[in-house]
Amino acid sequence: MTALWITGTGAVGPCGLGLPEDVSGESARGSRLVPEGLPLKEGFPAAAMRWQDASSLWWINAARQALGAGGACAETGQVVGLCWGSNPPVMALAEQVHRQGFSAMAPSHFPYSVGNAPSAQAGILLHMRGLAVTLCAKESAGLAALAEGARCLSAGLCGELVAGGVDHLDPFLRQILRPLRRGSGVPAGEGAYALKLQCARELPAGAQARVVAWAGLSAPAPPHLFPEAGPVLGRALDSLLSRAGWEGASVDLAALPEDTPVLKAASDGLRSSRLPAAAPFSFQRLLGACGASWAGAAGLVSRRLASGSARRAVLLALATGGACWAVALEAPRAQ
Amino acid sequence: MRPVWVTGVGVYSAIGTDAASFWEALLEGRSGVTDLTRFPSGDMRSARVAQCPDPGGPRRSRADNLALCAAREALAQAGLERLPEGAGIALGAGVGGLPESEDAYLRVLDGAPLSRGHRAFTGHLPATTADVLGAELGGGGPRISAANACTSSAVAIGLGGLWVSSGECSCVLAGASDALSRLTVGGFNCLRLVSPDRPRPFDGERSGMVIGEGAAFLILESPEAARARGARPLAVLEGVGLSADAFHATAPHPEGEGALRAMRQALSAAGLTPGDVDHVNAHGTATPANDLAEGKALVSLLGDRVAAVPVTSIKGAVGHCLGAAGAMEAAAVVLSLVHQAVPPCAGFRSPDPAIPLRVPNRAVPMALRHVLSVNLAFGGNNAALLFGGEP
Repeated sequence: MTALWITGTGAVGPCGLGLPEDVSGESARGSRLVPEGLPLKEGFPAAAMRWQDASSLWWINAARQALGAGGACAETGQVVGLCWGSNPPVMALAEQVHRQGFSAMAPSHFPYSVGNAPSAQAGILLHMRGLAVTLCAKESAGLAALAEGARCLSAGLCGELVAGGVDHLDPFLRQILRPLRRGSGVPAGEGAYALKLQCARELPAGAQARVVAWAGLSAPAPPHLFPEAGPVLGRALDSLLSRAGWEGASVDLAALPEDTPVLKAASDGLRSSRLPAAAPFSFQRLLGACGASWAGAAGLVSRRLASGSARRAVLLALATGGACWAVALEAPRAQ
Repeated sequence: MRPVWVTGVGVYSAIGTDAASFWEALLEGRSGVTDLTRFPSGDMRSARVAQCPDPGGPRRSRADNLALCAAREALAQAGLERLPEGAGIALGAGVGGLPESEDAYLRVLDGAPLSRGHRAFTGHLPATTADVLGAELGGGGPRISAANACTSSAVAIGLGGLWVSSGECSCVLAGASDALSRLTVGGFNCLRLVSPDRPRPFDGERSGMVIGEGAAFLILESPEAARARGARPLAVLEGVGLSADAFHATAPHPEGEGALRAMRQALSAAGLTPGDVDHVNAHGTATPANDLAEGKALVSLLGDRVAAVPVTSIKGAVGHCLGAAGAMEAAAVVLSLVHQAVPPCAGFRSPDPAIPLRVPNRAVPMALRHVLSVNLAFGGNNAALLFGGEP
């Protein structure tokens, strides 16, 4: 019987290239937002990069890290999650129209205003010709991408893929999001995080974690507000544990949403009542709260599972508007 | 892929504001192309668009109101008042609330404080329409918005189909809405891809696309769940194919290589071969590059049946509805299967010798069993959906 494995990770985030060693300590204190236009590693022709927006640059870089030295095969796919995606090209084009009319719109900017620009650019530059799906699931996007990537692999739509997320928090979005974030939660984040997923019967080389189960559900809420978190997180956990065939007490690591104090309280309540043995995995103060950072969390959790410091982990993300995504990961040799 | 029933279809378009009037206009070869009035066209090269009548509705974005009109019709046709508990929503993201956000941002650029635009800016994110649908129509299952440019809604329908066929949920509302915005109408103008006249897909004298707007939704159900409530299928989603060209940011692979892989994958998922395809509803944007590449892919796929299989594009009628294009075309395919007829390719007059397809310029009544719906997008993104008739 085949299983789904995470065999590589990549990141361009507040801690620079690659995932940080841990979510606490020095790396957390050194956390900072990434400057725009972070240079890629060697190997890309500069001319090809001339018009790249930051989101595309970050995603290409993270995907390349996740693919590792072997790179992509011809049918490698991508599932990329966005919370707010790449806004600067949209605003730049709007300003061009405002100042000089439609004829001033830059043809070189327009393709990067489209949500799937990062996956398109990564496909071209990393030679990935399999499915290329870009999903917007707001603050749960990175986990939604991991779940839907696992589903696409299970359905046989491709043999391997890179799943993750990318978000670029430009000054405009910073301003319009400020009141929505209610000022008291963790800071909004940005960056790109990628996971290489493979479908294989045997434990593949470099396996860091096995993707055991995933679930997506939702609750009604106004688009800019979180739903009442306790019930929807509880339903998601029930669904996930049932699909994984796990007891709540067997989970020893849990990454739950802490975007706001209210969400954190609901998550703490769920952990203490339903996951009594699970250590909290608080990553959002390091990576920031955005859609992409949940893929970073999955990468960090995979590393813990690979090291043997945890055996079973659950990740549950909740978005404004009510979408909720959950993934269960297990240590590669847990069986 | 286990077959997925389509039990409802809803459409709001420039040529008809429900599925019945949309189909009637398609069969008659009517065009919804007109001059842009939604916002000042300024110095655009071409201000030709396919614009919908005002969908009305409360203070939401135009895209949200378009979506609600079409989604409610799809639910009603499926015999549902609301989405059942646990149903999913798979939306193809278009520009969402960007038109309203643009209005607010232009006021900011004129000196208005940013804080005044917050209400408009809350719709700025492409997932907002899916959240509005969830709040208004129920569900409770998975909810995503596929942001894949012009394949967005074909990808959304494909993923929604996978949810049902894999048992994730028994019912999914899948489709999209998209509204005219300065970014998209101006952007395609600046790329010089817009026709000054009207779109003529696959025509030897085609001069480009015309941007459209609208919404279309399908209700996808597992046969077991649909039977249990006495619902009958309009059509069956049989296969999904997704691929990337990995070739160019805006241009398709010149041989349509990625599109061909997506079509073959959809057929393979259904256990069928190209010989089983009776009709293709193509992307057919009417740009020189798209139609040539897609035409080459279809010639390769259909082989010696290329002169027999009718290939149409509805973009001559409803324009290129971008994020909603795949859903509009999937709706047209479902209606083709229901009515056993191929609509004409509106605007088509004379064939392009380089594209030897059978492109009808009048409606073709015929027996249809399996129909492909194909979409291509920026970045070389390709999607193919295979639909079959009522089992």
